[in-house]
Amino acid sequence: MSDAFIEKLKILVVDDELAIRRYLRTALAPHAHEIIETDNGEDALIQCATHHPDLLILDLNLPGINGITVTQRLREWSEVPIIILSVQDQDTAKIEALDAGADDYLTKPFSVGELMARMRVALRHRKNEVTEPVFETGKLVVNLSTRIVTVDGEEVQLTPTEYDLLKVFVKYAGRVITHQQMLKEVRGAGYQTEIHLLRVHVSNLRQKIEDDPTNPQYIRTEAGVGYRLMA
Amino acid sequence: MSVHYSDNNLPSLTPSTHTDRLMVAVSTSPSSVRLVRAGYRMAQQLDADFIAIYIENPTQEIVPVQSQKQVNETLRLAESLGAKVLTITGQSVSKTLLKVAREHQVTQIVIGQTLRSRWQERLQGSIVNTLVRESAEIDVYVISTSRDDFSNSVSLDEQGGLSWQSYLAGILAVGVATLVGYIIDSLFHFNPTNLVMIYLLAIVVTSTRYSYGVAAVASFLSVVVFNVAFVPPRYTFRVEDAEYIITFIGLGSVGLVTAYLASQVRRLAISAQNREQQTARLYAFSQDLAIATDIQTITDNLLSHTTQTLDCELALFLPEQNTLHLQQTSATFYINQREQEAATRAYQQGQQAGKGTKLASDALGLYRPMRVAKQILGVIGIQADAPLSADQERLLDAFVSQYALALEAIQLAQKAQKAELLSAKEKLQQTIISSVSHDLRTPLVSVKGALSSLLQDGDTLTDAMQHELLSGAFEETDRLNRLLGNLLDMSRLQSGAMILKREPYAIAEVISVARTQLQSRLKNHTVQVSLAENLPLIQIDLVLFAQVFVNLLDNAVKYSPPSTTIQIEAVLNDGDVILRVMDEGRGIPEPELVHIFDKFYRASTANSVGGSGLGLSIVQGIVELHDSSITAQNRPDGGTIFTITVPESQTLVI
Repeated sequence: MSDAFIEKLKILVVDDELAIRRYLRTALAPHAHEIIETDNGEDALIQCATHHPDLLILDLNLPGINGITVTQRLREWSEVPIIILSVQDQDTAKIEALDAGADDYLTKPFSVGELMARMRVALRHRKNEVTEPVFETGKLVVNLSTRIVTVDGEEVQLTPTEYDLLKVFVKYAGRVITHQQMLKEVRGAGYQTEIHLLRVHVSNLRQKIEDDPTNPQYIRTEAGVGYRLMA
Repeated sequence: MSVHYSDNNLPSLTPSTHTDRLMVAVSTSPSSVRLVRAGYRMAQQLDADFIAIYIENPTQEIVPVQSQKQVNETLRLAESLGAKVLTITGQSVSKTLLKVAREHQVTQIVIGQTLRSRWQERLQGSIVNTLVRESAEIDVYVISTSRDDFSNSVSLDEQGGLSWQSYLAGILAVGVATLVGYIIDSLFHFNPTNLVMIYLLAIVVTSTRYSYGVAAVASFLSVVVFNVAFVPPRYTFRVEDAEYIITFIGLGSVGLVTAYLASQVRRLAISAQNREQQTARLYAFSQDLAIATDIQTITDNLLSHTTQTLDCELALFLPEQNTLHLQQTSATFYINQREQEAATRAYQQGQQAGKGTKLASDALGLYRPMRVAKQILGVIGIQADAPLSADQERLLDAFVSQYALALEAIQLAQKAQKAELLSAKEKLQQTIISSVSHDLRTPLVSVKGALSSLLQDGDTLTDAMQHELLSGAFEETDRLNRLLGNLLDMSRLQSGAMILKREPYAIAEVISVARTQLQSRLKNHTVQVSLAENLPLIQIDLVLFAQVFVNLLDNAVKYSPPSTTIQIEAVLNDGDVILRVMDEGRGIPEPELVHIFDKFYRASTANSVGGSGLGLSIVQGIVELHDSSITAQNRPDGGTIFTITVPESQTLVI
């Protein structure tokens, strides 16, 4: 699994469960230059300050200060990519951490494949701030300079709101995007709405770009959190 | 036969192979209480069954209310000491006693000796002597009682029902007899002695209808009128022929004897009739009790039957954790703190309390502990304007003791039911534990198996075999994860800890979330979704409602063969949204359809497929939390349809 973004990384793993740290250590070993481990939030902040890792894998449930607080403190001075580890039924905490600046999340139990995909996207966003003018995933092509959207070569007519939404999805491609983040992004375009109106627009957008909106290939709903444009 | 006089000569306590039965004969005397206690002590020593008997003599002059009360009191005492109480009607006390004693295989009889003057005994014959003479195999113990106790004599005043009309009727009867006598005399000129027969007929008719007194008056009057009207010299009191004196004496005495016999027959008949009525009432009551299964119903029955038959108000108190609570009262039973206290004292001290007793005598009602064997089941309160008659008391006692038995039976049944419920709960817990541990272990077996074989024989396994093992283990971890999710959902549903975050969602979005989650599970099936136009949004918690579809789809995958189609459908029906998930599987046996939403219930056809029996019960729990409903049917051509109805109130039209 060679990957330009993941090789030679310094990764900080923060989890109070030894078994999970061991699993992550083994799984990450082929791709990391160095793996630092810690089992609590306070130490995580110190390790970040001293070692400047390239990526943080952060459990939400920690003794002492929790993952949300660690994210908030870290974001005061660091832009290091953060991937949150959570369990089922932690939707609220997940959203809080994402809104505080975490890049993405994984629900335990997760596979190595999922972890690598999340890491790859997170790193790409940090390293490559300049977006390409043309975004392509599957049969969907979004040309940001000409504002033309095509599916399987055919042009799709979008309303201005739908296009704005799609543009935000493209910006966050591959990453989860919470409803709040979404609203914050589109409000800049003078767009005021409630969440359920946002959902109606996303639903309309799906109708136009998805083959089967009940089995979407591009815009996935992350139940209880937000959306993710698959990339 | 052995006779033991006085109570310091108790029988030797030789162990007997048969059970002793001791019977105490109770009379109207207050000293019978002493007799009952002595009998109780003897029965205790002999380890004998204890019977108390009262022989009621219907031919006896009417028994004063006071004495009847005394008898009831004594019998109640005996009952509270564990005696079987009998009240028997019989002409001769001694004969009836012996007859009953033999019927009940009594081995000892205890009876009180009344001290009477010798001539009284000669005249009337002593009950004790007769008893002793005829008791044969039964031991008779005689305990002396003082004469004072028997000072209750019957006064004529208490002989109610002697109205002037009945005397008039008696006189009229004599008049009619005289009239008939005149006609016969004028027609046939018989010897006047023959006319006596007509008077006798009048006396017999009178005595069968009216009391002994009326008949006696009629007899006397007959003699006088006969003399004046027919005996020469006629129309004078004088008698010429001395032989008519014999006729007078004959007429008078035959009249009196006839009157006496007839009145006795009547008394027996009335007594039998009363008994019959009481028996009928008791029978009706016991029938009502027999079909009742709860305390409320039997209490209602007691109160309605009693107040119908007796002129009194009743209240029933039952203990609950050792404090007495008012269970129910009849319509106008007066209850306040004082009455409640009297009832409590009756319960605590195990004896009567309230009006006319030594305990809490300022209360309006009379409170009696209600016993079965030696246990006090509750207290019955009685409020009546006039004191109850002896018969009424007896009937009330019978009602109450029937009630007490029914109450005890119900309480025992309730205890048994509780125990059964507890064991059912334990059984359910066992099922949960065994089901969960089985379902957790099964995936673990394959995970552990795959990992151990890779650890041990990793070098010798081909790449394909390794991949096979690993992908199997990988899938099993998903299964484990789903099971744990279900268990978590189940426990949250049960504890009511589910907090819904309801927001309007498009149905397509709900389905999409479920399909995304189950992507790998659904890879061998075709999923066909058809959504009607203009579907409204539905107010749901997306995570939970998606779980409904996840479980239904998972179920469809489990029970239908690969490469069949699973259909999802959404239509609008009169404002309600109807959601259907249909598979082409084996369906569910008709009789089991109603059970499939039960916790841990698995269709009999599902044995070959792994599953905890939790999925559908979670589905139902979540659907109901959303004020919606779910049903299951079989499709005519195979497969199952689950239909969810989301009511219009839970929809939002954009």
